[in-house]
Amino acid sequence: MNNDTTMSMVEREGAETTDEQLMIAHQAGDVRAFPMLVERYRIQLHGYLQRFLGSAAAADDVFQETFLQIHLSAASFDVTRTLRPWLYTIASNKARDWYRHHKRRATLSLDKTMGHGENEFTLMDVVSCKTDQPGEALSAREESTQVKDVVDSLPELHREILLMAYFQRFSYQHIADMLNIPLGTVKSRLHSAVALFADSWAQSTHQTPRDHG
Amino acid sequence: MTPPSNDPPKILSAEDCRAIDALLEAGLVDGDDAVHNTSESPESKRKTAALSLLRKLEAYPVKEPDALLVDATMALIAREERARRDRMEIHTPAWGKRTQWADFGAVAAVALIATGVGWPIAQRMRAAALEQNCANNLRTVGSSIAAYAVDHRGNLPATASLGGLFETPTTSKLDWSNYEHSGHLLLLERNGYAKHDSLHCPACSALPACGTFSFRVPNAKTPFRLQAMGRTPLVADANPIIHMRRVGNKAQLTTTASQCSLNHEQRGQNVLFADVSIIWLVNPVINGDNIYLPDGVKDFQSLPLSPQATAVNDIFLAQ
Repeated sequence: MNNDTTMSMVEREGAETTDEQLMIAHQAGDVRAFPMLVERYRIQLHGYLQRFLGSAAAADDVFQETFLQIHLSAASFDVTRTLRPWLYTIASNKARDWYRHHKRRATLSLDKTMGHGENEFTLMDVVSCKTDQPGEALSAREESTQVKDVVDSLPELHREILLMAYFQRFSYQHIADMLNIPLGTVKSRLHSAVALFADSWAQSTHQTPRDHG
Repeated sequence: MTPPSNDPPKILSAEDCRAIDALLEAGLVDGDDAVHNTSESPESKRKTAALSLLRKLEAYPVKEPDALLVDATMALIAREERARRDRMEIHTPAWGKRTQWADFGAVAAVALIATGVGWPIAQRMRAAALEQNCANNLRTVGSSIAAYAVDHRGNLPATASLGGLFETPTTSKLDWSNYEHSGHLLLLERNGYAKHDSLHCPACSALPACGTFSFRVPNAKTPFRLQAMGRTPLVADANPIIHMRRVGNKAQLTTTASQCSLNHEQRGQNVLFADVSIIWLVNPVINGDNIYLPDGVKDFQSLPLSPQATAVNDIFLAQ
């Protein structure tokens, strides 16, 4: 795309300009393009990082480092490809680096046996638990706290793939490309993530004071 | 927060896995519909259950980031850019340019001094080496003459082609321009006693202006034999006076009392004696006799128009 065309597009209709056009404008030296890109992903990417890292402050740091990396690597960005997967790949890598540095959570090896036979359950068993029954539903605040506890307790890799799939709506193939793992691994890892979340959720709701009261 | 369970984690049924795959591959759109789907098929119920569970994720408390996060991010990028530029630059203080010029001047001065001191030293070393090479050639000439004399009943090399040593030069050879006394030494080369290169001084290659050797001019009353020469000069660097006489350069030779050979830029000359010894003379005078002038001749101005037989015991080396 012609750079002049892209720059004028940024001037006229920044909100309608695609991510890739903003990157081209940034590469061409338009100083307005990059802040526009950062603002565009401010809420979305920061939300992903908050859920991933379990901390808004940590998300702030990783968010900035992610865009710094994007800026430094802008020249190597292939403008024929979409920016969003690249952005989330970098953000996920930065988030994992943050984890390694802070070691705040114990991780669960993916090689760990995920259970057999009698441990198999269905999601319908989980969602039909008594906490979802009328009159016994958790308050929004309680549920919010509960969800945070459960999500934060998930192993890093399971939490990452669950967030990518649900909140960012990335396809299996996109996730495989971003994490550089086989498609089958993505599926099995997501299944494990959902199972862990469901199991943890079921356990946590059974332990709520309301259940005992 | 719920402590992690030590029980083996549960796994989803294959049907649930397929339901999740179907939801994800459809971008959760079908799942949205499935929530309100009244179908009682097991597959729909599984999708509904899966989506219902996943939707609980939305309850995760997320704080909306401050709008200043964009400014903070851009400021971080600007700081990093500045730091990178600083790393790329060569740090020079404000007085850097002046210092560089001063340094340049100092280096130039040192170079000039080194050149000023070193060049003359190098030149002197080169001249000394050439003087030594010249002496070596003369030593070769001396050895060649000695060998020639042994083979020729003690006689020194003399060729009849120059008109003979003891004859009055022919009309055509009356003046200094045609006089080639050192040509007698070519007999050494012609008869295999010496190589051509050894019959020249290597200090000066501008032949015939310099670079040749001058040979002893005999007189009619003294046998021109090696034994008869005693320890007297036999061959030396080219005679400067005869050269100047030929080219008519009187200005260069204002006096003849101590003119040294042009072979060594008039610093001195190598002299081969009849006993094959070599001496470097800074003045071409031995026992009051100038080896470059015939007897009775005191200076360039009084040099006879043509070479003449010298007096007995006169030492005169001519080209």
